[in-house]
Amino acid sequence: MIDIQNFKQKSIGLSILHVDANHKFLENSRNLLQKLFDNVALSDNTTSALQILKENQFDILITDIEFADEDGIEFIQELKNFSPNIKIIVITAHDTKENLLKLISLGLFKLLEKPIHAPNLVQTLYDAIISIEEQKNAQLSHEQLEEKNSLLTFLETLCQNQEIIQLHNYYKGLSITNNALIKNVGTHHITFSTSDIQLQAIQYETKTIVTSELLNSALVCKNILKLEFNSGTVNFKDFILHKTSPILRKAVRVNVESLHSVALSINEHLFLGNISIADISVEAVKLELDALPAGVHLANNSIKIDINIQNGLENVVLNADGKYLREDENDSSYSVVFMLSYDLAQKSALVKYIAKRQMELIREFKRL
Amino acid sequence: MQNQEKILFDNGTHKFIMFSFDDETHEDSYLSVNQYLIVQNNMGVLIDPGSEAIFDELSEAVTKHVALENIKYIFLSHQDPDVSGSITQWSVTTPAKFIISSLWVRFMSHYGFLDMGRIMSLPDHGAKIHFGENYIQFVPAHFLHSPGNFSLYDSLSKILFSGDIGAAIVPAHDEYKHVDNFEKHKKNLEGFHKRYMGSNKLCRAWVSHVEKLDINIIAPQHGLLFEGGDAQLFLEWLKELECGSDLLSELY
Ligand SMILES: [Fe+2]
Ligand SMILES: [Fe+2]
Repeated sequence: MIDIQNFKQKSIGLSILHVDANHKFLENSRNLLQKLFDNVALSDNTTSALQILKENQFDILITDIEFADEDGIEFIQELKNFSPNIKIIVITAHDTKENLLKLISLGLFKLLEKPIHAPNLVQTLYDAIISIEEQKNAQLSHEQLEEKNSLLTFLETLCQNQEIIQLHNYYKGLSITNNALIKNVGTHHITFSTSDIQLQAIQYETKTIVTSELLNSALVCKNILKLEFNSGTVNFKDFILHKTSPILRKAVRVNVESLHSVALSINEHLFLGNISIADISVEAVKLELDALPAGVHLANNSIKIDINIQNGLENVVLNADGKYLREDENDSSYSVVFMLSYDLAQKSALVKYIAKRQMELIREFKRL
Repeated sequence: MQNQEKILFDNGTHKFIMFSFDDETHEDSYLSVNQYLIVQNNMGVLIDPGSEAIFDELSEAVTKHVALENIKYIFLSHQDPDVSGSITQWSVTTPAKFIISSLWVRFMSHYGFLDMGRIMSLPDHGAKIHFGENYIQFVPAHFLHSPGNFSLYDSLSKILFSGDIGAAIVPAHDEYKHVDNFEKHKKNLEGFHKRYMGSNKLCRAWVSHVEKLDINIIAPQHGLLFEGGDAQLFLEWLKELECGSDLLSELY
């Protein structure tokens, strides 16, 4: 038995046309089809059906091949001219043996005999939408393959012309970026030459983002095959294209390792779970929560964030209004990013802290 | 409070502002420091923002003219601490790209920088940034005094920021800091230029380059502005100046 809910999910956006001379049959069919599809059309003759098919794109056609003074086979032949991919289900009481070969050559999806049982029809329709889905996926991966090929050609050109590209990594929130050249590229590997500092950052983080002024989106490389300081090169297994260009941070962000406390209030209710700061910039903070507050969504509520970070003699004290930006689920916690707005008088200590922390991280990184 | 801000040019969409925040006050041999800001259509170009000590005051003053997130470039004429000492602070508070001679790029990590994506390094011949019909040009000024050194020319305001060239050792001024008698001002220029500038040949190379520009004001990083005729007098003076390697015998 096909679950209607499941069916409806898969049929989203699909449309179906049913053509039959029997009005009573069409009426019953409408009741069923409307439960299964968003977009249902009916017609009692092939002339108007052709008109409907010319004006709109349909995914599935149910039709009889027996009409009073029209030829169902000719109808299918004709509609194939402008709807070559439509799934055709023929339901007929007519003896089809003589037409079966013809129908098969016209790409018949399924032949059902009248009288029809609803569960049989539902099953057939379900098979049809699965087949449509599979075709779409096959098309997609074909496009992806073409995309990868043209990307490869593009990267080969960058390599041949020795175009300067940029590699981006992070060390504890600190952005590390240097120029690089593509030394070698193939379908499943890419080699860059870059500075020692960048190699060190790659060794630490592995995941590397590659950008170029000539490329709208960015490449992401995740698996190192070989990294060599002597030759100043790194060889990655595979690379993928980021569909959207990754947000390269503008504001300097650092992770916070010193002692600190955070209080988060949502609509003046204090959040009682454990909170810590993952990283902070002058614009935003990423908080690590052991659970998300129950029952409220952070996006539409008034958020207050009070922060105190130990920093030598002068602590960073921030009483900020937070604006929810996004959240991520980690293994055993949630990280939520809030944009911060706070009194300008509080900014100076935060800037000093981030600047100091930035130097600290650079020193730490250089010692790695 | 001193007069720490002077608008040198403003046509409604383009401003050239001078700030004078000093990080320390030595009674003798006082070297006053000037910082500059160009605001073009709400986008800021900050020039030689100076040391960490003046960051708070300067950023507050800058905010009155342009939001920090709209500062697009920060120009560092060379690597000295009175020029570049606050790189870290500015990198934290603005999205700006730092424009500096390629000679100093490798030293950036010592100022708190590993993100070369935020550095535009200038080749020896310099570069131009166009906005509409106008432009900002980075003019080579190598060995005057730093080996990787640039002046900045703004074609719309016709102001030439000259960095350490034209620096004068003068007492702090409360009023508008400009030269009103070049002859008298020479003595404030001489000591500094003779010792800090590379050679007469280098001075001439720079002068012959900037002479081609249409200049209303020469604005140095230290001391007083040279306006109109005084700018010409200063260039003439610099052309004839014996300095640096010309005076080797005084050094050994
Ligand atoms: Fe200097
Ligand atoms: Fe200086």
